[in-house]
Amino acid sequence: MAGRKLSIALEEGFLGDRVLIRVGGHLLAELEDLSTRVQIGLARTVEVELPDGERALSIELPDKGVSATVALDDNPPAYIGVSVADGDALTVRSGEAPPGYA
Amino acid sequence: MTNRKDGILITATTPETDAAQPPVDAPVPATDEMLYAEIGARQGAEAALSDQATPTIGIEPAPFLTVRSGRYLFNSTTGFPPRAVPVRDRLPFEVTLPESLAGEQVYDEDVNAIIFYQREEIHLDVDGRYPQMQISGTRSGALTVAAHWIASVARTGANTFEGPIWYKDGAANTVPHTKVSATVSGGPVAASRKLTITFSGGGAAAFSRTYDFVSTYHRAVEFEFDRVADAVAVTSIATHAHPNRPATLPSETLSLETVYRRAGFDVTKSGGDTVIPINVAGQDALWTDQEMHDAMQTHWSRFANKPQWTMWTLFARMHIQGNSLGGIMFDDIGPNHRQGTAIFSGAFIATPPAGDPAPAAWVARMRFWTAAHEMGHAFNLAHSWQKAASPNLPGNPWIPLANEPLARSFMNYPYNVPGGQAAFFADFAYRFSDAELLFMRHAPTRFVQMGNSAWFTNHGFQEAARDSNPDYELRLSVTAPEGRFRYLAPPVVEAALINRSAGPRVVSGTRLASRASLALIINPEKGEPRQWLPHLRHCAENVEKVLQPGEALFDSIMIGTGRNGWDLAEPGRYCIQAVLDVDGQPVYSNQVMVTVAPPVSREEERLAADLFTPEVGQVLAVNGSRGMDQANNVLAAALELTDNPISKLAAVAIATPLSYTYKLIGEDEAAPLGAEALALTAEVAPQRSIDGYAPDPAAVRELLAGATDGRADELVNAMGHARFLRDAPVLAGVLVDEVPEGLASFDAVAERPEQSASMLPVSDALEAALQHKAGSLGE
Repeated sequence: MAGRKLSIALEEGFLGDRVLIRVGGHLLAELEDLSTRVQIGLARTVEVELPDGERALSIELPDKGVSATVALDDNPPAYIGVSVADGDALTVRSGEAPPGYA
Repeated sequence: MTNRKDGILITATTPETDAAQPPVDAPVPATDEMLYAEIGARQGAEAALSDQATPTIGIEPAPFLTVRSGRYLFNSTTGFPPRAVPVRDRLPFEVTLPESLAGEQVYDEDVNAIIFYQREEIHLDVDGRYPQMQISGTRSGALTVAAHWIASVARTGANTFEGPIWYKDGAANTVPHTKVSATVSGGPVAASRKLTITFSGGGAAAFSRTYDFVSTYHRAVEFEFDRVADAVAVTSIATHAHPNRPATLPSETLSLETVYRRAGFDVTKSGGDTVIPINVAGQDALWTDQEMHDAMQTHWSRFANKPQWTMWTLFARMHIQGNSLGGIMFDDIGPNHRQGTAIFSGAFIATPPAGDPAPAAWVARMRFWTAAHEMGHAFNLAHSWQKAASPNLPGNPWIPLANEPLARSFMNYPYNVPGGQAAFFADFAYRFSDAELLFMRHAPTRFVQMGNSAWFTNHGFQEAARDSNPDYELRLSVTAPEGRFRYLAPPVVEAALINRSAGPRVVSGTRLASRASLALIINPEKGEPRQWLPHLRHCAENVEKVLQPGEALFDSIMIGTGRNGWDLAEPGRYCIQAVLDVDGQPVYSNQVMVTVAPPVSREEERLAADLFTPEVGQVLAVNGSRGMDQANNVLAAALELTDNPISKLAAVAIATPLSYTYKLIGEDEAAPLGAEALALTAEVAPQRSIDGYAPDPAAVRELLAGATDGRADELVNAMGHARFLRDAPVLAGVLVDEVPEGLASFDAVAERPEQSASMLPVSDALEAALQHKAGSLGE
């Protein structure tokens, strides 16, 4: 799995949020003041390289106290989409390619 | 166009005349394309940009007139001050008035508000393509819009429509009425058509006004399509080119202009379509939002930093975001949003699914869909799954809206529905949803018009909320977990008018639910929005209350039943929002989502038909009646559903009139007539008397014991906190010595000293809430 790239699309429901993306405790990305562009349903897409052997990807919104963990097997998906639902729960979807936005 | 108050010959509608007209609900004939093309050619670009449109004289295709919907106009030439004449005093009496106004004085001018406006434009939407059964109006002066209203109407005759005004925007005193009755008259030539509307209700003097026909469209808009040299522009498609389609889909060449014409817009082209050289995008030939905004200012022939009914669409190859972005309404930049959109013909929309039977047609369809979708954003339409307000969204919808995640609309992603794009296009008729059409046709102009309301911040009340009275907050909430209410139990909303200013404020002490200045809108996920109307309004001397900063006036609003009936009888999701006029300024509430659960038993289903009647609703709203036996029998049956909150409400409704001496007027046929009666009539008539029925403490005790059953939370929440605080002392008053464990009153509203707050077995949180509210209830 070394060097496998993953596209993380931070999609719906972000509104001035701070987002941390970790794999196995390693901070891969830290984003400030993230807001969804509602006309396309996407805030930002982050490309990360997955370290070898790591099995869990976490996306955290520390200011809202919510997070989601995605299990990574030997063939992780190429794309993960994360949205913030009402009540601040994170929803996650995955696939081999990001969906289209318009 | 001008209307003269005197001497207007209005064709009175008679049953014979109506019967002679062709059916008004016949479908628009296929030759409307010819009609629309001619209208566009005649109207011209400048007229299309202006609200002062010259009348569009239509050549109706055979067989004669079938569509009455469209835009109508009134311009006042009344002298100031206005003099209005009662309609029935005019000779000849020309206007046929609705039967509902039989005993009412109706004027031929708006005596209430005509000094505030000189012009009124009407959108009649009752037939033609996708009728929404709405009538809306915009009242304006020389320079500004004074107010906007929308009525939901039903057909009452061949050419007559009637219904309540459910939406108002702007100065409250400019639209005081609550009901419209409309009549369309005129022959097959559209220019001869007239619309007469009688406004009534709301405690204001009724008046009748006639409007002249302007256009079969609601609004006019202009498009310009530019293309980058390396991109493909798709502005029309053959609807049968791809085999995956609804079986009923007509075969036609469908253009973007036609899509929006069918949405109610008189679409014209600017005549400025151009091809943009590729080097405009820079070395990488990919587009950024700023580059597109710059290109819009350079290449769009209509660009101006002002609101206009005109927009620019760019067909480019690829955005800097890459293949995943098929299009974007990029213009959330600068002072005037939503004037430009872009479609990226080389993005994922150009890649058909593997094995698709008609890949070229699939690509053309996706490019066409993307164009219509992005253009929809320029009209301030949100995605289908983004309609409802949310703390995670930057703006607010214009009325309470429910999400439409399964909608077969241009504003939904085809690949987001179950079954993906194949399922979507198998069931897609190239249209917008009813809620979207309602918005585009009838929302206040500034919410829709390009360059006007900022993107997404008024796909609503947000724009109106800028004018919201800053000294107050109107907060709605529900106590049901997750806003979910059991079937049969009428949902209750807790309302609080909070002083958010830095100093004390004097407010009317009238109950919030009783105020004529409160408009509470219920918008079901499936169905039309409607205004909740209380069963009762109390007329009393106004008692004022002082609210210190942070203090609130509380009330419970039983929105489940009202004068319009049981508005939330059907299982489903509803969005609730309200606006309250305080000190002449509106105070807009937050939105709350309410879910009505489906029935869980046959018993609930059986009771529903008897429960959901106006009589039962009225009895629940007024805390019971000893005289309405049929309703009481239904409530007695509801007592049996002990696991449903309706049983607790029923217990209170039955117990309350048993808790005090109840007066009923009865007739005693055997009683002798008095001397006065004998003098007035030769017949023997029954003697009436007022009888008092003593309270029945034992029955009250038994009913309440069953309703509380050791814990009163469910009862209190079912009634609503404010209502419980008001009503509990009445019930406790009859039980001087034996107040059940489940019932008590609070110091603030106790009528008798011995009824001070006691051991009410409610949760700590509920007790704290009740204590907090007890001191400040509406009268």
